[in-house]
Amino acid sequence: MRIVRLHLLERVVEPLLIRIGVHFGEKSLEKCKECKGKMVEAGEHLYLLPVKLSEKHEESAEYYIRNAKKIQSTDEIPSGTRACRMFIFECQNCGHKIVSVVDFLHVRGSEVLEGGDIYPFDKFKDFF
Amino acid sequence: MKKYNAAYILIQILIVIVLGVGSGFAFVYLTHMKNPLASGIAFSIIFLFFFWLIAMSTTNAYSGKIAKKTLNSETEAQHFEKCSTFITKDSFTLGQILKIDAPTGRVAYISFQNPKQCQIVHASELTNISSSYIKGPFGGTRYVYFQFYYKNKRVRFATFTSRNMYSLSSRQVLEGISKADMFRDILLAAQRTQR
Ligand SMILES: [Zn+2]
Repeated sequence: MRIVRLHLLERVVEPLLIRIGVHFGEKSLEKCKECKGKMVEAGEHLYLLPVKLSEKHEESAEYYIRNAKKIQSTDEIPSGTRACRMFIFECQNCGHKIVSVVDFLHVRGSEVLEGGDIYPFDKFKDFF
Repeated sequence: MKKYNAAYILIQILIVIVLGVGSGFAFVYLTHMKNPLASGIAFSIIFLFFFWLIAMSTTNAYSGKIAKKTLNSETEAQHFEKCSTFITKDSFTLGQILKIDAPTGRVAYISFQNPKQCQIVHASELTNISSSYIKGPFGGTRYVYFQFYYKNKRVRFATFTSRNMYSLSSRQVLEGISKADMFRDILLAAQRTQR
């Protein structure tokens, strides 16, 4: 269900908009779910994934933690290999943090959204 | 790379002719039609067309089986180990398989219309390895591919085909381009391995 929603979303909203953090599925990146305070971006990381093209993989924080390999720029992504960006969002009011994972295929400068979700920052504490 | 084997294609044509003409005349004979010769020829043409369509749409299925068997036994005998494989087998297109052995840079090719001959060359013998798409009107495409030349003859593999025009920024086209770029890069990397 989540994947279907993402695909529909992707057709309407470009990955760029998701990046800016308008909405991600039904979960808002704008408002803190703890105190409704404003969430701001507090970090961005780029990783390589051991997945090719549009292959499916387990969609979980644990999967990304186990398999993501840090890279510095999209130039390091071999053609046909998936990558993901992880955005850390922090509440300006209470400091609550979340991680937004955008799983994509990098094709000649364009990014095709293939998956991703929003996860509690706690799960990624030791990862960053 | 030799894509067509005359004998194999002739056999398929012969089978279609025998089945078509045989069914045409059998049909006329069994229904006791008048003018058996004229009706026989007419029905033969109808059945020929029918069997021709069936042959065209199923050749990749049965020829592909033979081709795969040939390719697998040959690449096994030649110790292909870490392979990337690309198969095209859409109906009404030429089925082909490309198998690239990364550690040795060898490339195995087989065409479904020449399914008994597995051709193995080193990637350094290939030239003009590239990936691209055929531009359609309004900046769209319905054909994305990667290709190379071997002895001045082009071998092309489609990674995306469609009856309809797709935008270059569509998911389908971008995924096709990504796949084409990936195989182009696998071939280029194979070229750099020692012969
Ligand atoms: Zn908050």
